[in-house]
Amino acid sequence: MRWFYVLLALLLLTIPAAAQRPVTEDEVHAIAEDMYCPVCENEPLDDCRNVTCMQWKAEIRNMLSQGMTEDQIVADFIERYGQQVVSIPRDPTLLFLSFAIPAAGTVIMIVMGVFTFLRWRRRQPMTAQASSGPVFTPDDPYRRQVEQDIH
Amino acid sequence: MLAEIGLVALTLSFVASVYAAVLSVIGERRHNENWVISGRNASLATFPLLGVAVVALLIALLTEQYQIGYVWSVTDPQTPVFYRVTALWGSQKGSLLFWCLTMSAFTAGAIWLNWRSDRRLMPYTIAFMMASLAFFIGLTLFLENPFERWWFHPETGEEMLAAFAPAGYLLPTNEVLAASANGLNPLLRHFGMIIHPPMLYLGFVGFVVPFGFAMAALASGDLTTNWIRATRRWALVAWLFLSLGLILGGRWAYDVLGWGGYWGWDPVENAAFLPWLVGTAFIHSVMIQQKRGMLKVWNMFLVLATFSAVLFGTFATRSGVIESVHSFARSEVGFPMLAFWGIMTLIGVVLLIWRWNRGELRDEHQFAGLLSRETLFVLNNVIFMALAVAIFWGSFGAPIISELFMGTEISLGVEYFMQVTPPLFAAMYILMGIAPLSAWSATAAHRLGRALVLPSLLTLATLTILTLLTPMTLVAWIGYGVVFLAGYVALVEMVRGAQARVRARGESWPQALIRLFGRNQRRYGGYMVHLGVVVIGLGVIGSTIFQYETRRVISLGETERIDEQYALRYDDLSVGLAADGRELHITTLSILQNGEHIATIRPRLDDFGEMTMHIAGAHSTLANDFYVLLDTYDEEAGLAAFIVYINPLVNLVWWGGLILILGTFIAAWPREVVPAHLHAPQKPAKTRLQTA
Repeated sequence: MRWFYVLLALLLLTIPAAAQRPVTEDEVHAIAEDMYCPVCENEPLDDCRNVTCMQWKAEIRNMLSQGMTEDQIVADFIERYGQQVVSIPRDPTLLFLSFAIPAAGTVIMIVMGVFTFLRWRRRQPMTAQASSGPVFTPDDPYRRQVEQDIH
Repeated sequence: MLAEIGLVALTLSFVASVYAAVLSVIGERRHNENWVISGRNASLATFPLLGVAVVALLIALLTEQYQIGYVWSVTDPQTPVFYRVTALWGSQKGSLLFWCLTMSAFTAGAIWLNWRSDRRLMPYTIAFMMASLAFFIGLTLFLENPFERWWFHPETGEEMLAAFAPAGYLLPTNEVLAASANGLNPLLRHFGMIIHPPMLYLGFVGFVVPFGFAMAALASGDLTTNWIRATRRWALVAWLFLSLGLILGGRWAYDVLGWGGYWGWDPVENAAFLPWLVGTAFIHSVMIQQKRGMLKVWNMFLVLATFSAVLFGTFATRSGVIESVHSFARSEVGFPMLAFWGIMTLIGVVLLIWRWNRGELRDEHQFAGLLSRETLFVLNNVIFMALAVAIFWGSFGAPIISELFMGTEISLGVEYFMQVTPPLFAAMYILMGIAPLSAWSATAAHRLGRALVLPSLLTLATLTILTLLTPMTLVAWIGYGVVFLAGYVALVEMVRGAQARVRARGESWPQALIRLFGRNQRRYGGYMVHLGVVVIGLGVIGSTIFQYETRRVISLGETERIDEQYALRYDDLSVGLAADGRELHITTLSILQNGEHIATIRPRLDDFGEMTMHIAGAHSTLANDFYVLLDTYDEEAGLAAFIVYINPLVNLVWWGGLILILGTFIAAWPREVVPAHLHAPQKPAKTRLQTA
């Protein structure tokens, strides 16, 4: 039952604010699902049930009841705790860094693909036919030995 | 006694693996056949030796030998027999030992089965595989020894864990230790955990075989398709286990972690997904080398990248460097693992560049057409690698770089992955639809277009029906479109093949289908895998885009409307004690659909004292899962808070997984086991020697 009392205590903290505007759990969830737990790294705030996260969710509920928007709430948390509280950084430089590299990676992969096509186009075929069986390279000592034996 | 047996077996396996790695290389360099054979025998011996060590630990777990530190840390007298077995991989030390056993099973199997056919590659293959095995056995033996025992000093009362008795220390009695034993991590007390970790380990370690053969090809200079022929099936088997591990991991998360989903883009999940992505690229790309003698450098790179991703994933999972639900395995092995990852990757890259510069990895054919199968496979590789880069960056790259160079900690979460990966997955499905219709060397655009007509029409018809019958968004429409196209292409190809047999040979449809699969296992097994991926895709789109989530507080005996269709009635609450000591808080809920009672579910809280788990109650149909978590309750007030998820099509993820596994089995099954009358007619393979 202790988790219920923790939750209840946290809910009670928000009663004066809740009197201003009723806030549903779903509204809190909509903001918390894109935020991250300050204690359990990489765990969304919404899914985390430790005491700190419960306090944060109570705080979000309180802010909502005071009429703050989602952007204002998130900005407030970032100001206090840093960019790690959100699932995508809001700082323009960090935001650019986050998305530029995967975009650059994709471009590099495409360039590599194009490079491969061009290389294929330029290159003359080797005389050999690829097959699923063993293929002997021209400088294969085993092949030389066998050819010597044959001749 | 069990600790001594385990310790001796583990030490001998370490000596044998080092001996095998060294002697096989020296034997090859000096052309000493006996040394190479001795190295082979030593490498084969590692499997039974590690088997003895694992059995010793297993017996210790089952017979409650709490003097062994590992047994004390993962079990207690209340632990049921089932979880005593799973406790073998329930924590770092045991799981590392089990990891070594699975790796030795793969290496022994590869050496045993490929010894005659790939004799020239074997010495270096043994060396690379045994070097990897020796590293992991060394980690287990010197840093994470599961056979260390508790010792106490009778005068000072000081306690310590050590493999051998420190001077003046004595063993405490088993009874004393039993009273303070830890018990298994509650998160791991689930049926899925008996299968998920072994499957994932088999998938990870299985890639040591393709890696070993590829590195042997680079080291020995035998750069023909021999290494590919030797390893294709091993790569498929490893890929099969990795796929199974990922799917079972998803199922475990869905059942146990209590957040209504199966994939949270957690860094450690992603670390297991990376080798799967690169390995999938390799499995496709390797066909180009086999059929056309092209992409030799790229295939070497991919096999190296796959094993490198395996080592990195292992490092990420076990080092505790990245916090996540998997961080139970945190320990001191981080730095050695990072070093080993770097060294193995460096060796591979240096060997690859060396052979490349010598011009020994030249392609044997020229590019023929933009719509050839080769081109589409290269594009497919581009997509898989772009996905791998994006996921690696989001999980590890950006957080580490921003912290190291910008002094700011960031977490790239679900929001990032849901923006970056969907376009790439869509491109993957488009290619999955087009590539099977193209031909090797060149395909005329009009021919490809004609082949796409029927699948495209079927896709459009399906989308029209779905749009009329179900809610739809533009993103879902596009997603379903590309996924259905890929699925219909695979289905149409199967039907066309069977139809040809029915017409030409007068076979019945079931007979024609069975023979079709038997005669070209790789092709039709591949189509089956594609179908599995298509079904998974449908499940992912449905359960991601159309998931409904809400939180409700319900009074005992009252009914709460959830949406236009569903309502929940809170019927009962009961509290009890399970056999393993956890307190169970079980609620009984009735699900009403349009006023009709359709199911009774029992979401519950499992209170382990130090941890509480929220186990969902779910009503599953093919259409959706009505999935409810008990968040908290107040018995006196008769109130309970529930989190309700309606997850459309989520069960397709598991069904798709089964189809994928079945397809991989068909593709990888040894031809020798398939009845001869089902074999495709083989053209006699012409070697260059014969041509000359």
